[in-house]
Amino acid sequence: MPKAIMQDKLNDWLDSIASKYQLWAPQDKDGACLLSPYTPGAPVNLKCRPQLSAKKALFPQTECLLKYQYHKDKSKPEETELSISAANPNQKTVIWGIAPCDVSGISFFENVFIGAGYQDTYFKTRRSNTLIAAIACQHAESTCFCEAVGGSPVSAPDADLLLTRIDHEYVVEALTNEGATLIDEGLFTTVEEAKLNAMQQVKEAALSKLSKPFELGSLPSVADKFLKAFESPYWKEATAACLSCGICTFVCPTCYCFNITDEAQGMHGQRLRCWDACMFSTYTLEASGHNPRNIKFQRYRNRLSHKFSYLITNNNVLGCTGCGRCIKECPVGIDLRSIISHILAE
Amino acid sequence: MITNGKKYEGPGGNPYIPMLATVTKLYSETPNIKSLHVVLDDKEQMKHVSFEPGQVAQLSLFGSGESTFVINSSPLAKEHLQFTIMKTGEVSGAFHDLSEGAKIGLRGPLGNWFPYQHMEGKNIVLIAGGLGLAPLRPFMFYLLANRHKYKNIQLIYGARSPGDLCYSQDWTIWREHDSKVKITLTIDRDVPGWEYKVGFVPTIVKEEAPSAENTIAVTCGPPIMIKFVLQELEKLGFAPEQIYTTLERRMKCGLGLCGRCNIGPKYVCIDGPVFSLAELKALPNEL
Amino acid sequence: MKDILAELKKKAAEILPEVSYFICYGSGFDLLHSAPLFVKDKGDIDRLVLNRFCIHNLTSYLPPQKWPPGWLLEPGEKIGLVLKGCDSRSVIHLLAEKAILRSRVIIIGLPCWGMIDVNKLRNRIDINRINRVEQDKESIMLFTDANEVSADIKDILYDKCINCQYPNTLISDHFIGAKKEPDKGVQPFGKVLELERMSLLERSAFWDKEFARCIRCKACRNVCPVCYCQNNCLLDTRVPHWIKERVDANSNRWYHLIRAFHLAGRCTECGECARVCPMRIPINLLAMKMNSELFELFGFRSGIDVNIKPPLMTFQLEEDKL
Repeated sequence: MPKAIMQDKLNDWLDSIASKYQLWAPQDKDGACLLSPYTPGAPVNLKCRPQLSAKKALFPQTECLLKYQYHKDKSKPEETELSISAANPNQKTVIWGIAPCDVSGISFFENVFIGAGYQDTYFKTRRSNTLIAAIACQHAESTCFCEAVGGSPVSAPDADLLLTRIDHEYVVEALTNEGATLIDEGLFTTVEEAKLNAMQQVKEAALSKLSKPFELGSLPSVADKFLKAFESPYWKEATAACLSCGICTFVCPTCYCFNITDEAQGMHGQRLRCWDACMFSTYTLEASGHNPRNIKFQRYRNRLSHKFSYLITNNNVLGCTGCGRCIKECPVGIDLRSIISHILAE
Repeated sequence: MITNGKKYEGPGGNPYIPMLATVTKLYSETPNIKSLHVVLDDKEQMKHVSFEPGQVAQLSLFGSGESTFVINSSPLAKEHLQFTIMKTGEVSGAFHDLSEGAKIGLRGPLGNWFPYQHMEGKNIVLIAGGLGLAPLRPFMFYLLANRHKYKNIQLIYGARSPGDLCYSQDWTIWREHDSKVKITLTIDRDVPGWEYKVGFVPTIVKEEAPSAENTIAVTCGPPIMIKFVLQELEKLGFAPEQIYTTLERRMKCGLGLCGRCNIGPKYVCIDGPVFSLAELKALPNEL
Repeated sequence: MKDILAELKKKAAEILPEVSYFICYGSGFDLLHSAPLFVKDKGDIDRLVLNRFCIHNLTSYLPPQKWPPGWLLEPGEKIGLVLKGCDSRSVIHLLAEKAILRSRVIIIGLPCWGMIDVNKLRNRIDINRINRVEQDKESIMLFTDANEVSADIKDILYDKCINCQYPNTLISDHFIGAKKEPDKGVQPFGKVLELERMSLLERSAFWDKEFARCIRCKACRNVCPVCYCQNNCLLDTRVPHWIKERVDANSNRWYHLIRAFHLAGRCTECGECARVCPMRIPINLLAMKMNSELFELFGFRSGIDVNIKPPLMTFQLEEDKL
């Protein structure tokens, strides 16, 4: 049975979780809303859509893959020994207060990083040590379109807990047994039938708020349409204003491209994995100087074709959760929804 | 022997972690190209090392980074793995500065390989320019070791000047193998003392005019050379299914995860580097 | 503003035959946004908008290194654009740097009453419920299904607009509308002075906190009209490796400080770097600080006079101001 917690008890609950887990929660930080590590007592903001998606908790922007160390024995100066050790990010973690679109983003990562292909050990370790407490979204923004890409603002099947705000109270549904362990009996009250009905009503109201900018159709047909539109002159037109910055990729809950580089400090150092962006021209620049995606429309076309075609072909999944961050944060107002609509209609 | 296709598991089941290895030999092929012999530190692992002709590996020089190189030693030899590195960037430059005994890391083998089984009973034409001979070298070793399964073999190999031709110790031997193995060498511009062909590789392909009848052509080299070689092969009647090439892309993970080496839905690191022209023609034009 | 838009459309139609394309503003993804619009065909002129959300500095698209794909010019071809007063400083500076040719741009100038900072608006009301906007020079009315919200324009203008010294386009081929009187007593370096009142430790803590948020999306660099080094930028080179790949406050600091030094006396204070920042870092203040130093030393203001050589592009053996 779901339980309920009053808004003014949320910090007590979070403090209790934070005593056992590394805890991520949405918080206001100097004019930005960010999913950040929680420190006891800090005010959380459940009404904002954090600037960055929840991917950063499971796929950090900068992450150590391994550490290496060269050793020299002074008696044999001509010889060098080398040892390496893999990072093991197995800290118990709770991601708390994220919207269903961000939960979809995490499910997407599972498909790509721990699916049929090579397994991403680091994501796998983090994911298996992480619980997710989602919150039903009652704050659709003008850029939201989760339903158009198969999502829902009020359900998050891959989360462990689902919160629904009703006035000054949150109804908390445990979706998994592990999720149920997070519910601290002392802080919660039982939920009566009336409140369950109220919860249903809140969810239904949230559903009716969303606009649907396009009808996607079946995934294979979408993949096909994007593939056929590869040579369309529309890409150049649609990306004329694009600045080739990394905002859309960095704020995206499904963009997962990365770079691997070494950071040396004398005889030791780390191999790092950092977010990369397919919108940067240096992303595909080869040592020879050749660049298969030298022009920005080629990069933008690849980004969208990846999300709406290649991922469907390879993983049977759509690379978009409809969170709308790329639209909201694009400095030059490029609206992915209108581009999708155009390609689907072409 | 070399039936492979296994995924690289990596120490502790982590495919991002290299196996430790030692550079046992390092020598110059040309002024800016060096070959190195690499032996895995784990002797047991080295004994069981196996790869297919055309497969690549990621070599790590800790502190500088990791880069993809084709394994170009014979797939039948177990003493060492050979790689050839042209000095172009940060990592390749650092490899050039190594000395014998240096400790490195290796992840591999990765990627696909030349489908030699489908080529049995056929003539094989290998066309390479410059360092493009590197992926074809292990293939040539394979073909010669399984000589009876293949008909005529011709290698057309060119470089800017005689000093830019790699693996001279190999093709001088291949030339003597049997009467049906033909090695055609060419350089871009004539120099005194050069006794073979002169001209760009595509021109020599046109001149040599290998018959498309029951033949597979495999070409590797700079993109511009490949472009014109393909044109010549098509003129000679080669169908896209009869032509193979290897692609190079900027790669990082080698696991199909980091995203950058895709051509449409295919990743050069896991679906390639070997592609038939027929496969490439089905992909978005983004070479 | 409606009459100026009508005049702008008329003028744009007039000059369209002379240019390869005309860069202006079109509607954005909602009523509180507009977006850069590239017009090639006369039929698209109707898509032009002019409102209190036309914040983008269109000069960003002028340096040849930044021309959009498929919009590359042949020698002799021209670009037309509409230009606000603040943004015209970027054009003047690019001309002074000889980064663009005057003969290749046709500029329509206009007066500006300041642009609205949607983030300031967002802090006041739930902007997602707005379905109608009425605006004129002095005020803005926002309507939701239920009610009407009005806001004092001074509270929601961009900081740079509150401190606007140049409301009219400084360089243009055609000027439409009547010129607006600049506000009196403007403090162009007001925010910089505020920061300077902090102690060294406070200021260092302020920037550490800001740099810790930076995600290195490079939008500040890419939008900057005077950042046109493209792939030769210090941020993109691996050899030499100026900036670590690691994204943290420390390496971000080096990126932003080195960049600020490259902008000394070159930044035209359009504020685009801060506007585009998805992490809301007031990164424009660093280059502003450099500009304030150059103003103090040389009395130099960038982007005011095409004929004055920016101080860091020249030198005298006996520099009397140092």
